Amino acid sequence: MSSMPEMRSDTGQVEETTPGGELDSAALEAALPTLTDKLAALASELSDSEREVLSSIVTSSALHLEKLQDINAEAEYIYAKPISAAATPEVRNHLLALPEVLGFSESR
Amino acid sequence: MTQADSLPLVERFGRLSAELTAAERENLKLMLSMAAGGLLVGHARQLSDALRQEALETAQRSLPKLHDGKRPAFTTGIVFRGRAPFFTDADLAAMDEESLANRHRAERFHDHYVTSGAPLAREMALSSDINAFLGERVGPVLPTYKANYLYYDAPGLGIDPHVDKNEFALNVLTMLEHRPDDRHSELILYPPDQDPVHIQLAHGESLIFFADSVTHQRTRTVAGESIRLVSFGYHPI
Repeated sequence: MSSMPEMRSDTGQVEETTPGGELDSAALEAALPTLTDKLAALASELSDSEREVLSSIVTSSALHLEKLQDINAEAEYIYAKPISAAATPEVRNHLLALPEVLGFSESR
Repeated sequence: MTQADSLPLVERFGRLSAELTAAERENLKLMLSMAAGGLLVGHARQLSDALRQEALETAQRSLPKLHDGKRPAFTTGIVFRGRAPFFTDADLAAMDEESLANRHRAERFHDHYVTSGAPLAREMALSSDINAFLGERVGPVLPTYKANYLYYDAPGLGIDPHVDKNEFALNVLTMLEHRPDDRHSELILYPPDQDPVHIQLAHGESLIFFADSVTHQRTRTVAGESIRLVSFGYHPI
């Protein structure tokens, strides 16, 4: 099996990535308020039926994250790395609170 | 509800994605993937079936929209399944040996164990043969320098529905061992609009799929079951 010379992915997001090309945790956390603002703007443009779907998505996301946290607690090990994206505790906590922040708490 | 054009939020998420920074987009991806996982496993029981289905399809269909057109159109997200021509028997035997030798330093990663960056696996992941194989099927890709050995070798290990992080956007997943022959744990992909795809990889068989776009899970192992895999990450460019 032949090997390629070392190459680095240029994501065009250099300021947000580690030398290995991963998104930096601090950048992900810093992006939460602005993403929330954009989701709130999106929600304000939706019809009632579309808003209901978005509410279901945001709420289900929080419920699933919450469930995974419960599994982790029961497993008695440190939640060392996330299964998807670079979800630090701050990111997860933000997503857990997102239904209420966006006014979707009525559906939980 | 089975047509993308009847899911208006999908297009809205696509347009929103174009306005997001990479970090915002990654957070949105996490939110959508967790939503798909929650809707699949029934954490949102208070929803009507129709609303749950529409929310699930919206989340599933929106995930590929977050990648700025860098994902070719796909139905299941599977690029290839079979005995990959870029691995020789000797390659597989060497990775099998390295996987076993590195088990002791594997770290728990959610509900399974992972060894990252083992030298041979890392070198294999940089193979020009793999790069050429992928390039012919999905266009240019770059290796992400991510090469993991995965271990599901105790009862109850598995991983709930999720999508992979960016480093495994295109995942080359190869089975090194699954014993005993009477298997319980399986890989399941949940492409939108279709029945789940149940996959049992044979020894030495590879699955190449867009792991950052298709929700997938590995169901739990039972007593006596042991699975070892090797996973390489690539990124379409």
